[in-house]
Parts: sequence; structure tokens; C-alpha cells
Amino acid sequence: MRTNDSKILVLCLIILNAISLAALYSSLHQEGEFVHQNVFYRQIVWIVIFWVTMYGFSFINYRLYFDSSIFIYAVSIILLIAVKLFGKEIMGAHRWFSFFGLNFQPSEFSKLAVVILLARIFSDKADRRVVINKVAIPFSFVVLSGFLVFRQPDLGTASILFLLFFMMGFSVKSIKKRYLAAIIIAGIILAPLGWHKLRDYQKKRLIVFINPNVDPLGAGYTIIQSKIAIGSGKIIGRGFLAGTQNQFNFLPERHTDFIFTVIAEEFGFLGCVILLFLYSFILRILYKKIKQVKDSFAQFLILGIYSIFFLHVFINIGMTMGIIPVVGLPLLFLSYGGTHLIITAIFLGIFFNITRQC
Amino acid sequence: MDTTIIKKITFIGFLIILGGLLYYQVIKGDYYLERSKANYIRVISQEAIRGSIMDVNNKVVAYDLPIFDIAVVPYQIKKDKNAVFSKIATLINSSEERIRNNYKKNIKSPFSPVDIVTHINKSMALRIKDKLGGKIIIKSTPYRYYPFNYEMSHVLGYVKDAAAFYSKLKTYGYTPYERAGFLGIEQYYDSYLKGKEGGKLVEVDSNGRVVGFLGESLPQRGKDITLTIDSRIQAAAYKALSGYKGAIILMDPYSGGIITLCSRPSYNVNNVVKGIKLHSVFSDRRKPFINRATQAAYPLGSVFKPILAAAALSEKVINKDTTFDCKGFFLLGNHKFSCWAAHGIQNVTEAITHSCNVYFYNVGLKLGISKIAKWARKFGLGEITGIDLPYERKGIVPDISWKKKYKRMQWFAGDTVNTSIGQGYLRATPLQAVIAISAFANGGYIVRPHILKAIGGKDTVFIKRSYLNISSYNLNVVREGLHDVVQNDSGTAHLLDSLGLDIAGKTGTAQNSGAPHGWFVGFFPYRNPKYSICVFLENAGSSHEALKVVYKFLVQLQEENLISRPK
Repeated sequence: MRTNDSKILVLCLIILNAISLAALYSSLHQEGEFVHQNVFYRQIVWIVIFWVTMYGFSFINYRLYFDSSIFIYAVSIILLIAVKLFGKEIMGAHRWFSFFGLNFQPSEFSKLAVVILLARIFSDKADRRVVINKVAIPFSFVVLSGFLVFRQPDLGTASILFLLFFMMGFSVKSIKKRYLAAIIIAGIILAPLGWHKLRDYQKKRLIVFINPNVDPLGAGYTIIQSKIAIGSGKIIGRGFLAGTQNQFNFLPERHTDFIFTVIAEEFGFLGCVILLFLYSFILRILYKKIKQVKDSFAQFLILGIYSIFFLHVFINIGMTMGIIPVVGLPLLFLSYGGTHLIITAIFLGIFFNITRQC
Repeated sequence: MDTTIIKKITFIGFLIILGGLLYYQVIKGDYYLERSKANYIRVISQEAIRGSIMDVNNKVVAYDLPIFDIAVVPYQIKKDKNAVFSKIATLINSSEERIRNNYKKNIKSPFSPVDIVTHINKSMALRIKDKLGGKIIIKSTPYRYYPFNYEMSHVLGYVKDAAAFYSKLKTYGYTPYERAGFLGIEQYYDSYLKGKEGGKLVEVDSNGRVVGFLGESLPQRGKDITLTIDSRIQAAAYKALSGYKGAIILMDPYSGGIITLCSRPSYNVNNVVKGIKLHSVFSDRRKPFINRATQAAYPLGSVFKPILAAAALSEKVINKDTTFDCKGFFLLGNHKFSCWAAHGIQNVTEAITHSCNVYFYNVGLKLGISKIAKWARKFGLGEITGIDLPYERKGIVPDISWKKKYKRMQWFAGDTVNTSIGQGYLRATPLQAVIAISAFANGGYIVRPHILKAIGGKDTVFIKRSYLNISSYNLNVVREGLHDVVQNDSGTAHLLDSLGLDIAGKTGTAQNSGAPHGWFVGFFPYRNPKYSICVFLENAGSSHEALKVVYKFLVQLQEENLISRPK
């Protein structure tokens, strides 16, 4: 049973890798010409690194993270501060460190650090002073990381960190739901204060989320064209390499955050449903494992991974359809990008180690 | 650990996404597919070259010229829109504001070209292309040009985009961006002239570059049209009318071919095509848009007398030798109807020559209004002539039932008296007047007038004639009278005798609420008529003004060798 699930998981990953390469291959075509081929080959390299990383991390005893969780978190905070000070600036944002021509995003790493830290705190059996130990303290950590990520600015990852806290927090039996609800309500009330902290382009994105036609050539453009691409795929899609929104360059960012539109346009509703099935298989396997393992830390680790995966899928697809504001977030396993893929690999490596041990 | 909430969140999350996909891809799929197509499929319409219009000597009087428009693709210039606009503004010496307004007015979607500057010439278009390169699109479109600004405006009409009148025109198969003829020959023969629009169906990318070709239908050039009009004579007529409101018509009395049909005041037809200074034309109280030859009906005055004479002779109410004594006035009960002189004893020929009112008062009363009306209609009054120009007026032939219907009054004998000399309620267009007089030139039939000579080089035939069935004897009685009007020393148009053209005709001074209208209708040469002529001057004061215009007009035609004296 156990090995069977792992095999299914590996199979799902291989299929997703294939879909990723296919969508990327298509998105890099313009008017029948294969442009930016290096992006495609780089992604192949990333996928290889993905598997190596995952395999490697599956041998690292997950209990090590329990002991080093504070240290990992501290490193992530230092990296976030460092990238703000010394990081490479791309499109007005300090998100990247550059090593040997490869870009590394500390905000991705902070997801890992926060998951490990929250897993440790929430798995603590002690039920005394819950409000302080399990709500106030972990939330403060999340706020610190979230704030630093938000200031990069990386609204997508910041919102994932906060949502991660609530998804994990709601699962802790000893935490009364009303504490968390109180934080959420307070957050909603205080949210307008954060408005002036947003960059202009972020404000615009939120405005066009409400009405994309306010600025059809500017901020609203992406979402309008993205909806057209998704909708025009209809049930069976326009066919591989035949999506006109994609091929004729009407969609920006389609090989990274908007890769889903390529799939939706060229493979239609059926293709999208298959993709959703693959994601739900993976989530289901993670979910089953939560029930199987006895170790509470392992349970919360998997729950964190589960939450991260779910949020990535939901927010990314949601934003391409205009259900959620455009925040800039890669689609799990599919978008082009190294850091995202490696962090995902580390998450899965941890998961496989838990599978091995329990 | 309690994971049910996670399960719920996941379930709801996936349901939302699935619902979204279902909505966009399955329910609204067709809509978004259309929008996607609108993004990348573009029809590049190629307007057909409209047929040219030539006069009788094959001189071109209307043709298509290429002009150039500048368009931009909004998505392509979204970043440097202002820079592009200001550069173009300085190049064409126009305000940036105007370009911006055109842009706002014409923008349809991010990817289809928007016209921002129209009507520029080739060298300017090339200069702008040189400065701005790929950011702009130069479109060449045909537009109508008329070598005569004013002289032929009423005959030719003009050509404009169908858009403004699209709701009316679409039932006839026009597209909104097509051009259509308005007024004149351009409207009447639009279906021949306009040709067939063509177009290319292409695929474009987000920068508006053509990346694929789906199909093409070639535009078909419209047919050329040749007119019976002689533009040189038309120009002379326009010149002769200088200082007057009125019309000159010169026609072949046998075929009905119009040699000249000129109305003044006129409008600058090229300005109308370009859409400039329109307001001053529309607000002009002299109504330059009205074609006074066909679109307005006036009292005929004495010009009606030959028609009445022919009617009375044919109805045997009078004969050649019937005389009436003119004492300068005519008494009907207590009412006194005047004549402009005391002519004494007059027969019908003399009465025409001297334009004696009293003679025709008597004749009219003897004939009665029903027969007057019947013969007026036989001569083509009260009905459209069928000329190939739109919006022709049919005028009024009054009788008992007409007065009852429109004036709600009974007919009086005085009305008959007034009608007998072309006054009262009688109204006719100058064209109807010249058609009526032509019957005396061509041996007694009403001809259908026409301006068209040939379509695409093939001559057209207009054969509609309606015979009056007047005996040649009676016809000649009236003809002699008309001849004497010019030949006889005492004739009212003796002034024209010196031209040596052997003219026969009739003058008219038509009373109306303003200054009297001046008329002259006639034909020449008397023995072998080649031309019938009508000069009408609105509110000119008297027929004398009309004679002066006829004189001036015919002298010029002789000077330019456009007509010759009979041997």
C-alpha cells in the first residue's frame, strides 16, 4: 500500500514534468518559430536537478529539521534581509540572488523555513498557554517573514505564508478557532492601512481585479487576454501549438506565471480537468500519509507541504481566471523557474523521507 | 490533529476552479473564442475603385484619387503613444489634441488599427512613414475628386462613407465603411459606379504584424459612366447665371438627352466630400443644395400659354382665326383681371407673340379647368419627368378636386382665369417647362429626359415617349406664334433675334409672393430644332432678366464654337 502510493506519486510527477515541458515548448513558439530555446533546455536541466534534489533529501532524516528549525528560520530571515540589501534587481523588485548565472529566490526558501518552524511549534504536545505559545509566537514569526517578503515586493509568497499559518493553525486541536478568526477579522480591518504600502503596479492589479476594463492596455490587459485564452480553449482545446492567444503573442508571462493559460487554450476543459486530477492525486496521497504517520511533527510537516501545494495551485489558477487578483505566483511543477522547482523538490524529499521512516 | 477543515478547504477550492473552468470554457467558450478570433483575425478591406464619370466629350468630371490615412495599433504604441502623437502633430502641422481625439473616437480594440489622421497626400504620408517607421500604418484609400468645384455639383452629387446613413442603406447590401453616392448621378447610378469591395483575411500577432494569410477577394472596379452633359456648355451656363438664383437647361428635344442642367447657387462639392465648411452650405439661406431645375416647382406664368393654346386648338374650342379683343383688362363679374397692355384684336398666333393675357383668359374660361388640367398633365406637368436624378419634384396641376382636397375650398371661375396664364396654384419645375416646350420642337411628343449616355462604354437607350396627338396643323399654329415671339419686332423676346440662331420660344414673368420669377423657354433652330432651352430665374423681377441671361449664355456658346448658326 505504502509503496504503491509512492509509485503513483512518482508517476504523477513524471506526467507533470512532461506537461510542463510540453506547455513550455508551446509557449516558446511564436508564429511557428521556436524562440528562446535556451529557456526550454534550462527547464530540462532544472527538472533533472529537481529529481536529484528530491532523491537526495529523501535520505535526510526529517527529525533533523525539528532540531534545526529555529536555525533554518533564522537563516531564511537573514537571506531575506540580505537580498533586500544586496540582491539583484529585476523589474523593480529585489527578489533574487545570482550565483553563476542562476537566480535564487530567498522568498521561496522562507516557505520551507516557515513550514518547518510551524510544524515544530504546532506539534508540541504541551497545552499550556496556547494563545501565547501556539498563536501569538508562531504568528509573530509568520508576520516577520511575511513582512520581509511583502517588502521585496512579492505579494504572492507573502499571502501564501499567511494563509499557510491559518491552514495549519486551524488543524491544531488545542487552538480555539475563535483566536484565529479574531486575527483574520483584525487583518481585514487593518488591511486598508496597508494600501499605501503597496507599489503602484500592485494597487493597479487590485483595481483591475475588480474591473479589468479600467485599463485594458495596461494592468487589465493580462487578465483580459488570459480569460480569452482560457475561454477560447472550450472543451477540447485549440490543439497543441495551435492556441492563437499563445502563438501570436497576445499573452505576456505565459511561460512563467501564466503557463496555465497555455494549457487551457490548447488542451481545453478536458486537459484542465486531467491536470486538476493529477494535482488532487498528489494532494490525496499527502493527505492519506497524514493519517498514517504517528509522529505529530511529521504530520504537521506534511500538512504544511499539502497547504503550500494547494495554495499554489488554487491561487495561480484562480488568478489566471480573474477569481483572485494577479499576485505573481508560479504554478506548481509547471511554471518555468528553478528556485520554485527546487523548493518543491525539497518538500517532496522530506515527504519521501517520512514515508521511508514511518 | 483535526484535518477535516483542510479537507473542506481543498474541496471548495477545487470546486471553485472547476466551476470557473466550466463557466469560461464550456458556457462562455464560444464568446471567448470569438474574442480570440477578433484578436488575431483581421479583415483588411480593399475599397473598390469607383467608376469615373465622363461628359459627352469623354472629359472626366468625377474620378477616384488615392489619398492616405495614418493609423496606429493601440497595443503596439501603448508605451510611447504621446511621443508618436506629438511627432505626427508637428509633421502635419496639426494639434496633438486633435489627433488624440481622433484616436479616442475611432479606437475599437487593442489590436485593430485606429485612424488618427486622414486625407493627407502621398509625399506627406511618405515623410511621416520615414520618421515613424513601424509604429504607424499608412493606408491608401480612394476618395472622390471632381474637377468642377461648383458647376456640376447638382448633376453629379457626391460620394461619402455610407456610415451616417447605414441604417437606411444596409438593406441594399452596403457595409458601414463603404462609400455611397449621395444626390445626383452618383446616387442614381450608384449600383453601377460603386463596384465591389474586396478584402484580405489575415492573421496578425499582438504587434499587428501580418503573420498568416487566410484568403482574399479582389475588389472589382465600378463601371464608368458617360453623360449626355457637355461640361463646357455646363460651365458657360453656370457663368451666365452669375448673380442670379435659377437654372439653365439645354436639351436635345428629340431624344431628351440633357446637354446642360445647371442650378445656381451651387456648393463646392469637393469640400462636401472632405467634410469641410459644411455648416456654411447648410445654413445658407439661398439653399445651394437645391437643384432648382428639378427639385423646386414654380408658377409658370406666360410660359404656360403655348400649352393652353395647343389644348384649345385640339379641343376645337378655338381655331387659327378665333380672335378676342384685348382692352387691357378682363372682367369676370366685378373682378378685373389685367393684361400688361391693350393689345386690341388678337388671334392665337398674335396672342402668343405678344403674350396677351386677355386672349388666354377667354380661352381658358371656354376650355374649363378640367380640360386645362387634362392637357397640362398630357404635357407632363404634375408628374415627374423620370429624369435620372433623385428627389425630383412633380409640381402641381390644380383642378376642382385638387382644390377641395388641399385647400378645402370650391373652385371658382377666377381660379380658371388665373390658371390660364400659368398663375394661381399651377407649379412646375424648369425641367417640366423645357420638356413641354420640346413637344413643339419634336413634332408633338413628351420625351423622357436623361443624363446618362453610356454605362461602361455601352450606349443606353431611353425610348419612353408619350404622344400628345395634336395635329401638325394645330402644332404649327402654336409654333408660328413661338417663332414670332423672337422674329417679330413686337415679340416679347425679339432681343434674341440678333443672335441669328433662329430661336422660337416663350417668355414668362411669374407673379409670386416675392419679386416675379423670370422665364424663357424655347427651341432652336426653328426649322430643324437641335436644342430646347429653359432659363429660369428665381425672383429676378421679370422675364427681361431671363432674356438677358439667355442672350449672354448663347453668345458665349457661339464665341466658344459650341453651337453654330443654322445655314
